[in-house]
Amino acid sequence: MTLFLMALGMLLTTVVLLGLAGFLVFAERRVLGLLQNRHGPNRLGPFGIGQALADALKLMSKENFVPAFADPVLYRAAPVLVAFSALASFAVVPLDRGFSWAGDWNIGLLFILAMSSLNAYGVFLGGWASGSKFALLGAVRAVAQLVSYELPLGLALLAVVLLSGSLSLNGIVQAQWMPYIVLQPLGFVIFLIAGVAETHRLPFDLPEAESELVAGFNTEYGGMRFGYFFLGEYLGLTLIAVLAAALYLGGWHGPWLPGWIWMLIKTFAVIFIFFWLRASLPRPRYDQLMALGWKILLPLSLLNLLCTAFAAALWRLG
Amino acid sequence: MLLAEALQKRFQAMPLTDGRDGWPDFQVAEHHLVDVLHFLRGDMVPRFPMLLDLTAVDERGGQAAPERAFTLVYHLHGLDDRGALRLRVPHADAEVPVPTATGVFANANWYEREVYDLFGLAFSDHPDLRRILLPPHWEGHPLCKREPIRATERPAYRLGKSEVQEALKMYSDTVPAPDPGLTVLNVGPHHPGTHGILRFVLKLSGEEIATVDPDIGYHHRGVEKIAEGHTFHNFIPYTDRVDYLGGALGEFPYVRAIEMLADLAVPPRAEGIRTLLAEICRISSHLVWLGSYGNDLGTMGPAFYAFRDRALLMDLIEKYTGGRLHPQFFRIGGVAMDLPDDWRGDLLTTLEAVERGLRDSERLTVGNPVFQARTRGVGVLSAAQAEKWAVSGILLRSTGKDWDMRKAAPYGLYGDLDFAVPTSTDGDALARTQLHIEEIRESIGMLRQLAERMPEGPTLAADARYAFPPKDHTLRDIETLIHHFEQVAGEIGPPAGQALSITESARGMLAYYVVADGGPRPYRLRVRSPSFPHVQLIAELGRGTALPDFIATIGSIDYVLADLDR
Repeated sequence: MTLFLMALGMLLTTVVLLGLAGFLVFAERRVLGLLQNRHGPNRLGPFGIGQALADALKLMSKENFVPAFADPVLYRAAPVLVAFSALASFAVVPLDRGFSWAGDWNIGLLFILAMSSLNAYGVFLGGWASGSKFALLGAVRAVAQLVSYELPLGLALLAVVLLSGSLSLNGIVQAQWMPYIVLQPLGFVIFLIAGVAETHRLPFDLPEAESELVAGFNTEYGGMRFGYFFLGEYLGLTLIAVLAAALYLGGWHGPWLPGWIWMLIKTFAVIFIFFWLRASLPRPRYDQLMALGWKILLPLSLLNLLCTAFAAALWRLG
Repeated sequence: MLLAEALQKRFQAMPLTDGRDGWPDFQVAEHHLVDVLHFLRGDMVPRFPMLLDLTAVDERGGQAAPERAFTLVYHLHGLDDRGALRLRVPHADAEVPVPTATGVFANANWYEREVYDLFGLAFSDHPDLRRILLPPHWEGHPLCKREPIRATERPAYRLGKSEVQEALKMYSDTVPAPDPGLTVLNVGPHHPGTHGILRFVLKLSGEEIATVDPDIGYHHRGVEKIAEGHTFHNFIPYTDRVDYLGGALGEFPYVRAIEMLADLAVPPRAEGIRTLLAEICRISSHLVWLGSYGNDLGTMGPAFYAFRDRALLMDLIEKYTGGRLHPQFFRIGGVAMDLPDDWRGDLLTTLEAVERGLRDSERLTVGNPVFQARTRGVGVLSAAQAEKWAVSGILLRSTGKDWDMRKAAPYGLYGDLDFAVPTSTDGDALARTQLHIEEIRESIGMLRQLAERMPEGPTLAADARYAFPPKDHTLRDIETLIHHFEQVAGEIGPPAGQALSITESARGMLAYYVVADGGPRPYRLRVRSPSFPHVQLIAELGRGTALPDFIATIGSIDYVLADLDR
């Protein structure tokens, strides 16, 4: 019985998350419309909210096409890998005090980093297995970008771990007697920038880079397989936002409102920043992106970690 | 005259008098051609640095002697007060190759390929003589007089199975065999970064580009051939569409060329209205460029802000002319009708809004550090390269040369307007973006001046032989009605002769060269579009760059595919 309830709960979580990703696609288009002096999709349902459903239906009803020149197994596996790794990460994310699947898991943060590496595999294999040059160029860019930005991301997170003394997300949120953004302003900025790069969204969407690589690693994808990549991207975006909320913005802590509402508010605020970035910034060149990662963010995150360690040590002594 | 003397004495050049545009005009024998070009480009003081245009005329439509079956026409430009110079070279036999000019002018390469493609004339020692606009399997040479004008008069164009396979081979990466270590990447014909159907065959090493081979012609509509089947008036709508973003800017050189042929004086108010429309179209074209260039660099915002303002300008054009993108409002000898009574107020409010919006677009593009990082030092064009490839427009002005046809040889009402020609010496994509924005500001200034001092008077020349008679008169007296019928039915045209009219379009020097034989249709009409030499330049400018910079470079060149392929 417990097993059955657990399976049902997991199914429900997955459906809710997929629905959320679909909704975010719609929300992004409306927000971009707002920021860019146009309407965005506003026809289907109130405020055009049915657009998410219509898009999902369209993608699902399309033919599952495998190009003749693609590696059939990897081509099919890659989108699943991307969506799976993003979905699995949410298991360790708490929505409220005591409301999560594995929020207490003592390697929660490590698990998320591991899953994000798996995500890089999915993107790379997708581009590589497509057998197309534009996709390959996108895949090569993706792998270099994701690997490069995982370092500053991990180092920024390490400073949070130093402060809280825990690797589980519940533990980190509970340890925040004040939001860590106050103690870790630099870390937060590094995390956010690296997070945009990790989810390869504009302005760091170089693996896709529409005007250069057509659609980059997913050029040869269509139908629901493309949909998985799409869902993976928006789930990844949500994950980075929810992590920012949990690790830096105090998670469910907040006055008056219930914890889960605070969590959602904080998450959506970060997501809005992602939309805003997309609406206004050009894409840097590939080498500029790499230079930013290795020459600026990495040293800065190391410095941030050192300073945090020093301060923490002094705090203990004093 | 020094030039005439030198040409006549040294090269036995013969001065010709049927040009109605006032440029020096000489007939040169074929064996002297290369020497004359060398002399004009290198030895003469001051020299002619620019091969503005190279084309041919098939003379076999009239009663030409067999030894002059073709005439090759070379237009050189001094890029100073002297303006253009025309050389005509008679050529007898399509089987005998013409000496190539590529040794003197690098940009003759594509022009000679075009003549080879459309007339079937070969050029000896040309480095790369292939068809350029038409597919390799096309039979015949469409600009020859024996080719029918209407496609329906030809047998249907069909490819056999083997030919289809041959054609598809062009798109495979095995033919031409890539050099070891290089990947062949087809950017286009369908690619978001090329702004239309244009193909660049890149050889890449990693993401660095070893060679670029532009493949054009996907947009070729045969405008020059179409012109030969239309009356002079009828062709005006096509001129809007040669550079479809330019609108009225494309009508300007055409009607001017016909007015030169017919020796028509255009009333000042008509010139004013033309200038007004041309400048509105220039702003709208520059705005489209600014928005889509932002898109090339991955920023979505500027496109929507630029298009918002452009829509206001379109509304304005619609109010004045009835058309939006293509007003087709110019007429030979004037314009179609007068402006509406309340044109001033609308113009000034729109300009206000456009100016305000431009500040936003400027901050989103040249004011943005990422945008600067993407464009500074990218696609750098030197003054020497600009001369070598005969570039004009903003591309030329970004290398420091202060050259604008509106200033250098004022037409329309530009002579009465007070405006600056913004230049830069950086030659990179950032400078070109800045110049586009500054030119919009200058155009706004010009339009404000026009709003203040638009001349009064008629809007069409009172010469019923060439200009349309006023419509209300046609309903009153039979004389005018007959003229009207003759004009519309295409029974009269300007007297025989030829004229080259050069104007400054949004992209550079746009020239129409019209040969009339006294009939109601152009005998030959040549469109010298600025995009053609500019895209030719990409082969050199794109080499050695990485793929993102390549997109940033071709975007900054501001070509329009319809203008490129005609």
